[in-house]
Amino acid sequence: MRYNFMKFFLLCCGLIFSKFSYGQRLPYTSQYQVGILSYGPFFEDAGFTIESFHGVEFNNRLALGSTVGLDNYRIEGEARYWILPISAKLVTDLSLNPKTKLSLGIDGGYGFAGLNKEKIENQSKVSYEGGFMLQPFAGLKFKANKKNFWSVSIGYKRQNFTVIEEIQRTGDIDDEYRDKYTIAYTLQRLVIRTGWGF
Amino acid sequence: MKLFFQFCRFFVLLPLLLLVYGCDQKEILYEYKAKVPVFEKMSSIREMDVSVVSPKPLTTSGKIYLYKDYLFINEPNEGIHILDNKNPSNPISISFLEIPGNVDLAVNNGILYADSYVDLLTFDLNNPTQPNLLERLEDVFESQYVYHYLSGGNEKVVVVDYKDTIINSTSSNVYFPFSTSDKIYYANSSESTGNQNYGVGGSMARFTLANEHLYTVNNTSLHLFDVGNPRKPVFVKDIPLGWGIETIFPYKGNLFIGSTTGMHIYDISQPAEPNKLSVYTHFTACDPVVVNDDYAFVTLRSGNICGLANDVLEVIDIRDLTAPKLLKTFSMQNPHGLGLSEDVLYICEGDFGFKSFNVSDISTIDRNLLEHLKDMKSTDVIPGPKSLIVVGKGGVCQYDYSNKGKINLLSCISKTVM
Repeated sequence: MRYNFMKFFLLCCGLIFSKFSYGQRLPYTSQYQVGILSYGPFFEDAGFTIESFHGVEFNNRLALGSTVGLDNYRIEGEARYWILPISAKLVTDLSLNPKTKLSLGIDGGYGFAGLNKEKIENQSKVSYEGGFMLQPFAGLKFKANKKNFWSVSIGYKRQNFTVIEEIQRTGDIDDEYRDKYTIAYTLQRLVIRTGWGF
Repeated sequence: MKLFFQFCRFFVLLPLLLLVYGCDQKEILYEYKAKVPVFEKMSSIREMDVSVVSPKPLTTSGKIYLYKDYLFINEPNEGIHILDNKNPSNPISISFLEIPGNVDLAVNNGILYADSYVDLLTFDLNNPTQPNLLERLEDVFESQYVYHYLSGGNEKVVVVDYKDTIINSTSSNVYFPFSTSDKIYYANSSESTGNQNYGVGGSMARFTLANEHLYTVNNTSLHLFDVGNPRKPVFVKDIPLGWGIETIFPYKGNLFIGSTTGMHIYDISQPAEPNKLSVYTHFTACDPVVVNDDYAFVTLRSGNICGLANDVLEVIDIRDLTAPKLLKTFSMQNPHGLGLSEDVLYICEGDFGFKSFNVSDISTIDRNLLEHLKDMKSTDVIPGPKSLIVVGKGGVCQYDYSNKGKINLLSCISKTVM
């Protein structure tokens, strides 16, 4: 499943960059955003997110591209974890007035957990695995000048993340005996972002 | 404009949805490898032949027993190796007596008593190379039975083996930041599982003979058998002793019973009616005991099964058997079995080796270490008439101990790795 997604993602990237190779007929678009990840409208256990989007505009209303970001989650009010999401993103813009656009989109990909350092203490080992990410969102783009815009958006982010804890048991038994806890989280967060793009 | 209002409605609805869904869903898979019991009905076990087969290699060693020039080594749950030990420098394995569920034995006047799960078997040892089954007393060690596992709980079965098994369990849980009641914490499990070859705190009975009676203990009771007619033991009764009973040691008309919480002293001048004289209590630990006229020597061992105690040797004044008194405590490393021969005390220190002490002055035992053989990993010892027999991780070894200060290896029966 993970590999199927990666194939899809690489295909999207390939398509985008193949468009570039057609003599820049499609305009390049880019957007950089920062924001918070929270459990709904309560920010006590909030994390943060940064993201950059690079893609092409098929017309003034539709853009397709890839994103790379960095998310920080606080899980169960305790530990903080890092996720590096890489995804494909589809955005459609609708003009509300000459200076404002309504932006709707969806972002799907895989969040990598490699930035979380494996913990080995005494007889326990804790490791992490990332997972699929899906993020529908809605936002507004405000024209700043001829080329650039400011943006705000709100969305729902669903990220799979797994914590694996292996515990070596002590006692008069051989070393093979391990307890293994696999805690598969489906993290669901409200995402509020602001950013800049062109 | 209509689209704008739809967008605004979406903006309002989305946070409201997230009020419900802003949470972490957790799927927890817990996997562990464990030894799980294999059950069998006693009726099936009794149908198996109790037979004598040709000698076979020692794979695990349980209790050892000396009778005349014969050495008996129990192979837990398998049977008994019989060795001709006329020459301790060269013991000769002569046969293997297959007894399913056997962990303990005793010999009286050419009669061998051995347990087989819940039964007591009696063998004629006139020809030790070919023990002959005389009698089977059924269901005398009832506590070996386990219930409620098979056939809706009505079937009585025994545990005949343990097998490695991967066990999975799953649970799901949702974490909301607004409630802490769903939090789950995991503790490092240091719970011990599996078979123990020499484990104290286990459920296996221990045997001793005195005054024409066979006394056996399991972890809660003392079982009495009248062996006045050695060929036909008769079950007399059970005496409840409390939890954690481990070892039994007869000395001059008394029984010294070691438990995880203390030492029980019983007068057996009337063998069928043991009379409790006293109970000496200590902190929870595994504790074999040996005695002489004046003192009892008790080793207390810590560990997963034994309890979180210290590792010590206690010397208890038993001149008044009704009021035993602790005299001295000495630090040890991981003491298991012990043996007393005149004024020399031998202590098996598990992985820490084997020690001997001169105990003629009980107040200075720690300063009278005769020998510490660090490489000799040991669990039990019998000071026999011809040799000192030591059970260790590698097998059963015999030593010449005529020189108190330095024991000399005579022979070893090594375990075969299966």
